[in-house]
Amino acid sequence: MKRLSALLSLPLLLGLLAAPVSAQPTEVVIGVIYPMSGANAQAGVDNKPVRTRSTSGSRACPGSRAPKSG
Amino acid sequence: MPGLKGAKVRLIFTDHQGKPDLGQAEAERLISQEKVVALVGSWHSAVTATASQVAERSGTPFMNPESSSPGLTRRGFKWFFRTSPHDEHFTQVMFDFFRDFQKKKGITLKTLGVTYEDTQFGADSGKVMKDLARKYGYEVVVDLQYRARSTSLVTEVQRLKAANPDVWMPTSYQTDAILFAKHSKELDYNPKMIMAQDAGHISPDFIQAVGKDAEGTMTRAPFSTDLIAKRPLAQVVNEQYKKRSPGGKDLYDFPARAFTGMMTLLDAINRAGSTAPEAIRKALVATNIPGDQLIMTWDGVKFDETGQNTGVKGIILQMQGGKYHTVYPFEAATKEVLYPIPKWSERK
Repeated sequence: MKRLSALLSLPLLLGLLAAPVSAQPTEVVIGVIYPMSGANAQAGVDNKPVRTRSTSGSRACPGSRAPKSG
Repeated sequence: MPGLKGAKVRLIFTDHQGKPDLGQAEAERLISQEKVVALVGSWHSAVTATASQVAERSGTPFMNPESSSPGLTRRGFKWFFRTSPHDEHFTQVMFDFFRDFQKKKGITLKTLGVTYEDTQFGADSGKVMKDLARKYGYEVVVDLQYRARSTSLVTEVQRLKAANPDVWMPTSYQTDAILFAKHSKELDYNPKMIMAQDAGHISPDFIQAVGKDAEGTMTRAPFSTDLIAKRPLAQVVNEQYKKRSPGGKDLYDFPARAFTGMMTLLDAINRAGSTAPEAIRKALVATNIPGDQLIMTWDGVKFDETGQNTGVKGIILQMQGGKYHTVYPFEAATKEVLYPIPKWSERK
């Protein structure tokens, strides 16, 4: 009986252990839709460096810390 | 992202070419196939309108850093957030400037010429300008909507020249703005004051293409390169931007707004501690970033129930010597207003 109980609880335990791992993404994917060609492509072309910059670390982008936000 | 235990951010860039249907298709693809957790875009108001409809239907947060049509935050959307001022904020600053400038200089401005392109940006801007003109007692002597990306605007400039309003107020994307400037010179149209609705008139392509011929042009803006020196945070970001931007450009209006919008979204995702759409939406709703943490000269970022940032502020810039300088509010100005704009015959 004890063994059965242990077997039944094993998947539950594994599930609990696995749950936080699957809920915590390792990557945040964001879609950016801009004019990159055509008459007004400059807006998209000139904006691309700041988007890349803003995702590559907070030290150079103090605004990203926003600790008082909430 | 510390709030997501160091998860990395990956951006997928797509090109809408200024076409609303393409923006809509790309939004659908990004959500259904690429499984993005949020969308950012799309500069053109007309494209932002269609792309954000897709996001709204699917329950995906949509961050809009720069489209200025007021109607975008009046659709009752739950998933749409705009960090930038819209045309009512911007146009109000123009009329505040008219009031204060007349008082300061002891002059009278009575008549306006309003020209605007025929996409959502122009149509909304033209309406706001005319509404405020009526409210403040100005007479609109030219009210002209033209086809966006026209190959000729000669007729429009001829009408402006004939009516000769005290202020010409154009709303144009860059190809139209360049064409207006070239025709004005060719047809010897000499407006005393030009007050533009940003967009084409602040684009580096416009500045490069018309150079000295844009002297005296004023425009509303949410950011000015000459204010970087006054904001340490903007200086740090500008140094990074210059290293990566095409041609080593300084930070200006478009990228400054793009940066602010993206940082606001990332801040929200970080606080949410999750990529679940509802968690991100709730974090965006709770956003409260103070002005001293922004590169913009705004009061901060805090969204109202429509998704519009309530901490926005506009400024007025004027082209002098081939560069835009802040001229209003007067206490923040780095140059005096050049008025009237020198006639073509008087320019060197």
